Amino acid sequence: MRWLGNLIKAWAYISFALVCAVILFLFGFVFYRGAGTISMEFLTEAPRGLILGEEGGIFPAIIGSLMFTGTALVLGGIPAIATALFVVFYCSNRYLEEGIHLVIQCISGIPSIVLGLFAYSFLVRDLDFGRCIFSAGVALAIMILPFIEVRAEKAFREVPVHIVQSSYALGCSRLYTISRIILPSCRGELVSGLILGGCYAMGATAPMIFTGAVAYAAVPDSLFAPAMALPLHLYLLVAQGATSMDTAYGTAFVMMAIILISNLLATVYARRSEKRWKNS
Amino acid sequence: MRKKIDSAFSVLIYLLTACSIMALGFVIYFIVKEALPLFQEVSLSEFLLGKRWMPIDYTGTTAFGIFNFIVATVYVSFTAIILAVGIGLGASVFLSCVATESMCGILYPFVDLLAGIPSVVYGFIGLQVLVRIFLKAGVRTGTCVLAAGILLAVMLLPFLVSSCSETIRKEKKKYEAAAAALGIGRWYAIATIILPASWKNILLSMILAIGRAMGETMAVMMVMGNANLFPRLLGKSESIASVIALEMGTAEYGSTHYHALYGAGLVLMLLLFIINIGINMLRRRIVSNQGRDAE
Amino acid sequence: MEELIKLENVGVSYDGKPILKDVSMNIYPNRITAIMGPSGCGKTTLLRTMNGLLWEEPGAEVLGQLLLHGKNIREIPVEALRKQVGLVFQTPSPFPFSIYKNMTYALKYYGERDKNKLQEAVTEKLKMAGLYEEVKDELNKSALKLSGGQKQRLCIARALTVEPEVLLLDEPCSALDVRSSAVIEAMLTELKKKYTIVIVTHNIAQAKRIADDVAFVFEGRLVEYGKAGELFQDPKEKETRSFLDGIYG
Repeated sequence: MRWLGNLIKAWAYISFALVCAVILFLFGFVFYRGAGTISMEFLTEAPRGLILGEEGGIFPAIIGSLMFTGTALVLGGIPAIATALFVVFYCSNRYLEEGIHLVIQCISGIPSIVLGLFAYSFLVRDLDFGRCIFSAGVALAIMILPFIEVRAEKAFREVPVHIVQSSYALGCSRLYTISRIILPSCRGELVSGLILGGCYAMGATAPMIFTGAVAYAAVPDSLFAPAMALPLHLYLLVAQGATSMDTAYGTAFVMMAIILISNLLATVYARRSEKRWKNS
Repeated sequence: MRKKIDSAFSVLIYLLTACSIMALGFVIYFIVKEALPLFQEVSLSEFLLGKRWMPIDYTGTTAFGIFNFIVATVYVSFTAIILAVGIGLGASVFLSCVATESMCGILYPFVDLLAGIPSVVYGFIGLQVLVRIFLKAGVRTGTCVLAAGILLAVMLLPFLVSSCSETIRKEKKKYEAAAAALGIGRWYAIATIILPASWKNILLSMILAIGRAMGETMAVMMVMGNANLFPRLLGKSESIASVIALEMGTAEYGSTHYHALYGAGLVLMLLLFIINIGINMLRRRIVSNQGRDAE
Repeated sequence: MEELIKLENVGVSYDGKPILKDVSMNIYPNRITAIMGPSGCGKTTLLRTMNGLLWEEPGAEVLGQLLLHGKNIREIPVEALRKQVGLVFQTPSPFPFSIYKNMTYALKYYGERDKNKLQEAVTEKLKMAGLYEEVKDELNKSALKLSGGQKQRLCIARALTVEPEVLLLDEPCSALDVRSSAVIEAMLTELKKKYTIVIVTHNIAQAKRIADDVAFVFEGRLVEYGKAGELFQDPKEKETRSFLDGIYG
């Protein structure tokens, strides 16, 4: 039966190699095919051409995506971190804590398209904001809320209890403790969580299709205007077929590049926090 | 003065937390509100079990049956998990049993890159690569359930890998030392002790992954063909999310079509709630049982 | 002599399970009171009833009365209470800042902005804790880089910056080596001239060395309480005798 162990070992190694191969293929494929399209013009000009997007650049989509993501991070990140602070430092009732965890979990289970449906009914229609960055931003914010909350909570719980209690023992308030000790020392993990959450929001198409992202628009000048977005732009280019493939690869290139850089930054930032408590 | 700022901050924290919680309520409320009018025109069983989906009456009557979509969503998700579990589990064994602490610092974020790739990019690559392969292999348009399944499988990998490796790591800690003391080879121990001990949690992770797959929209939409057919591996079909995404643009506000799409969204949301809450309750029961056994 | 802190029938339970039952005792000013007992008998809980940290904990219920200067401590605003009664934990817990910032942390909270006054306070308290000479040239160094004994002395100095009347210490030397413990014991004996000290310890020899009054807690009850000399020479209760003889760990 000794061979069983060796079989599992081989399986583990091969599987991991396959996973790595897939990752390298995905990034490599897009970078290889898209590199040709990338240029300063591509990044800074608006789409042109007979069939929209086959020529010109993706600048409005980049700006639009940034605005969607920014809105989502503010509307979703702040309540997420506040909820994490509440659960770890303010909540004294165990049932309440579990209840909040259950709610956060449910929110993470809502499919992104359903969030789009919600935002359409509530914001686009009932509140009459129309299709705009804000409407889509709310949907995106709800999407990334659980992700950020879970990471923030994990970071806050890693602060040793006796450090927090020492601050209380000196008579200092929660706010002082949070602002002077907790937040600064968890900064790395919080930033990392926000970066990854932002990335996640930037790539999501479903919540924004009918709530704020449109096929063609100028660079938006307010949160209550519709805007283009990278993922939707990619989808529409693909739907148009062969003529726009180059631009599609270029758009995908930009998106993948953003993912790569963000993940790198996030990992570096998270690492910084880890070291904080290792000295003591 | 300081006291006032302190209390103001506390109030702010409470309010923001309440906002987070209420978000769930708001979402459920609005989806239900827009879905309910549907059931004045279409009965529940007709909606859930009907196979005809004809929102615009070209000829004859309209019909709003999402049965095929429900089945397709579940079918493609199952396909995805079956395809993903082999490699995903193997990779998690590697990460938890072979990789050293410092290697893990790089490898985990590396695998997590898969989670960062947007759904639409997956769909794009799927179209350019998978669908072409299927076309060459003889599948009519190249788009099929299997293509979507493969794509979803790749998308589920990071989730599977991270949750399974966490489970395996915990079991390893429990049994590794004892097995070594008995002189059992490391990999034999992994194969016969650690993996079997983890199977419950692995199964739960798999079911959670199925839930995630069911919620995916873009990737599936781009490679599954989008036809209201009962799903077959090499045939075209359509998932619930795809229907909603494709038809929301053209559905008239307030029409039955519109309400039907919300109804479909409600069904999808409920499915996912049941899976998520159910699995996490089970998980907690397993953990507490393990705790009891350990005493 | 009038007592500084008075406990009357104090009981504590966590989630319904009683940890402390019916404890009544006094803490007298400018003396070192040692609370002793085997592990898990409730001595840390007893200590924590005295500065209000306990009722922040989920599931904790406190019965009975605690009086500070004759006033019920539940009626004293929490911040003022913690200013008057300081607490130092078992695990040395310096904040992740420089030594200087650790010392000025609480002072800045209470509004002290004058750089000179801050510097004075830092120097004075570090000297009281016997740490000044060792760190005076490196006040901007991270506090996390100090040795265990130094960290603990820093924590004591830090607790002193708010000018408490009472200093509670929860097994301050249990994580330290013998030499650091000796330094801290000497420091506490000096400090009692200005402050009142309550120290939880399971180290009988330590209590013998520094305590003026001793309270022996066993299984959640206060078994015996009295002046150190008398209790160690001639313990009245059977459990006390057994503990002193080393029968309970």
